[in-house]
Amino acid sequence: MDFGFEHEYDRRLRVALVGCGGHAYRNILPALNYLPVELVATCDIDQRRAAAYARTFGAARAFADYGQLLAWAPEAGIEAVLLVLGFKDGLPQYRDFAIGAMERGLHVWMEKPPASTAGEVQHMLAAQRETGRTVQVGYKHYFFPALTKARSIVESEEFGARTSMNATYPLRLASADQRAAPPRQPINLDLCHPASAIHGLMGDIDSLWFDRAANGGGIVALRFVSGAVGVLHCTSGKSGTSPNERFEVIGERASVVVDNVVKLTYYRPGKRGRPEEGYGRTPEFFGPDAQAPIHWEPEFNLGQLYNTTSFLQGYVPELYHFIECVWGGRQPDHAGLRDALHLTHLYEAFRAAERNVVTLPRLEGAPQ
Amino acid sequence: MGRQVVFAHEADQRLRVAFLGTSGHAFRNYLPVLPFLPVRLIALWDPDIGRAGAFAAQFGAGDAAYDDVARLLEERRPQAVWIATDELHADGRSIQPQLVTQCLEAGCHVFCDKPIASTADEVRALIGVRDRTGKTVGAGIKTMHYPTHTRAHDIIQDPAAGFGELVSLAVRYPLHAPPRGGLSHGDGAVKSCLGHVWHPIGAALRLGGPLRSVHLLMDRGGRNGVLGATFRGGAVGAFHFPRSKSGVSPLEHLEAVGEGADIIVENAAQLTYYRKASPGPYGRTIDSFTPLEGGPLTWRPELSLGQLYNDHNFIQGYGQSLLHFVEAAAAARPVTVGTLEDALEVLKVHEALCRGPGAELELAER
Repeated sequence: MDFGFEHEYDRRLRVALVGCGGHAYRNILPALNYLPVELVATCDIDQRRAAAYARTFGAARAFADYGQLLAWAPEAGIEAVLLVLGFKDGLPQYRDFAIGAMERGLHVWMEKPPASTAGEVQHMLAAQRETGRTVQVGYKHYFFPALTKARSIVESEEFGARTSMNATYPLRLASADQRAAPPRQPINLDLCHPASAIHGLMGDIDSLWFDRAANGGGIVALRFVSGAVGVLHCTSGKSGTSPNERFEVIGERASVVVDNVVKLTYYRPGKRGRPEEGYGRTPEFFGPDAQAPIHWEPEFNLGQLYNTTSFLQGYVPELYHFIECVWGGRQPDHAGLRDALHLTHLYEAFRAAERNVVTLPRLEGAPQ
Repeated sequence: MGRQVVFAHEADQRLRVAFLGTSGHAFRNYLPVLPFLPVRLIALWDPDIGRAGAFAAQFGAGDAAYDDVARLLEERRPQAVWIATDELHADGRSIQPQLVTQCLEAGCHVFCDKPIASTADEVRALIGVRDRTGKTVGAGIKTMHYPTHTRAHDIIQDPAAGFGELVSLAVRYPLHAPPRGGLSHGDGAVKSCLGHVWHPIGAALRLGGPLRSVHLLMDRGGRNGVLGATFRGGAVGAFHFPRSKSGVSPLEHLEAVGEGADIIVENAAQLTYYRKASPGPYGRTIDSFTPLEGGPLTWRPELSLGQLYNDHNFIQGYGQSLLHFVEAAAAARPVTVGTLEDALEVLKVHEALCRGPGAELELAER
């Protein structure tokens, strides 16, 4: 990807932002500075917030009514909407917003979670297929630079087949009472993060089983369509000062670790010491340089793009991918509605998976 | 301040010990600890009398080398016997339970390295012999004595440390879990599992106590596994056995989560305690620091100094496990860490693993 500053791009996608909350303010709108977009309008049920966001981030118009925005879109040449909506009665409200935009010919990028039921995602998929619009969900973990790099490593011939993984994330698993009252489960929002990271690294999930601790923490055992297995440690009781996440994938005599989003270590196939030395007879821990672990982390001293949140947390890369897909007339490689459907199936499976193995519906085109 | 030791020759009283076995493990990891313990090595045994002689001469037992355990016990009358041998019965089971029994019956205290036995029933029998003879028995489960794990245990147990109850525990160790059930003691996977299951399960035992149930999944190739577990104390556990990991990546990673606090032990030697604290409200906080009293605590050994604490025999708990045993034996009391009951818990998990992947298994209470 060749990133520039917004005003430097020859071609810019004309977009409207819908939903003026703190997440949009901190993370989505600042990312636009580095993307080939032109923010044309903002929209929020609070007209004053919409107007303030429009002024701050350079949009010409602000709307309090989504229908009016959609009606005005053709006249303004708006090509896509960025939906960053809050929950309504504890549930995501993207389906109707997204379908409404697609029916008016607009491409849609929406934040996660896109839905609380697979049925909602199916509705959006049907609309997407009928309209041919590009639709992407803001599962940022598919686009973390460190996880993207890790994905390229685990897909390499040298790494071999992915055989197992472990992950840490402070997920709070819903209680049995909460799970009995679908579609609300408190984990929907947080599950998106580890689930999309794991899916991006390991491919489709075949089945899961979990055991829940009293505070909502616990462990989730996973089997993948590929035959690999994994475990997610849900560390909901952890300290507020410890990093949230760590992902490790094991291949065939190789492994890769992404720690706290930005630190990536690739342990290549190799051995400590000289080849002829047996266990217990190795006096130094180095091996051949070609087998040495590789470690990357950002330099944080410099005013660089790569150490900004917009890039480290995948906001710019995910939106850039969306724009590329819009211009290419195609669906996203990652974080499209097919992935959204799979991850929503996973979310739904949690209802019955406490100490039970639950198998997910198998989708076409499984990334493995 | 860390714990201090006296050198062997400085001790007022020294336990007279014999050592059974001349493995590379004994050579590297147990015998070099002797100079730092209040003990005197008086004899060596091995079926290979030449090796027994070489070890005896090298580690201070002179020419007291034996290839007959009974004769050693009769002629040398050790107060304690340490056992670390790889010798096996014809069916692949370790001979160590037989040696432990023989030494206890001879009136000796016994420290036996893992695997102290090949089956849970063998350990149950050893418990009976121990209780009948009244001697001290220690099991060499080194991860129970890692200084990092001991400190993590102390943090979890100390109400003033603010960890709260243990909620969940995750342990990563490249254990070779048998890919299917019904394999014999002599099978390579079973032998490998028996040799190493002590490490991840010993760590879990030290921090979380005994397991109540386990549920094993293996990858399609039968190489790597994940084990979901429930502790009798109520916490949940996750074990990742990445056997096909790179040979250059660390073996171990452990994370214990409490109530607003967590502990990470990385590569055996580095411990970070994330205390109960928060850097501030979500979305409006521009630095990640807390007051000092809530900041994460990290310890790792200083590696440039000629210290004991940075020697692998103490980083890996060998020295601590032997010192704990020597002090208990000298006082004629039981050990409290690395007991036969601990060994029994490990072997119950081993036997569950040997049933192969599949259903969730409840472990017996005793």
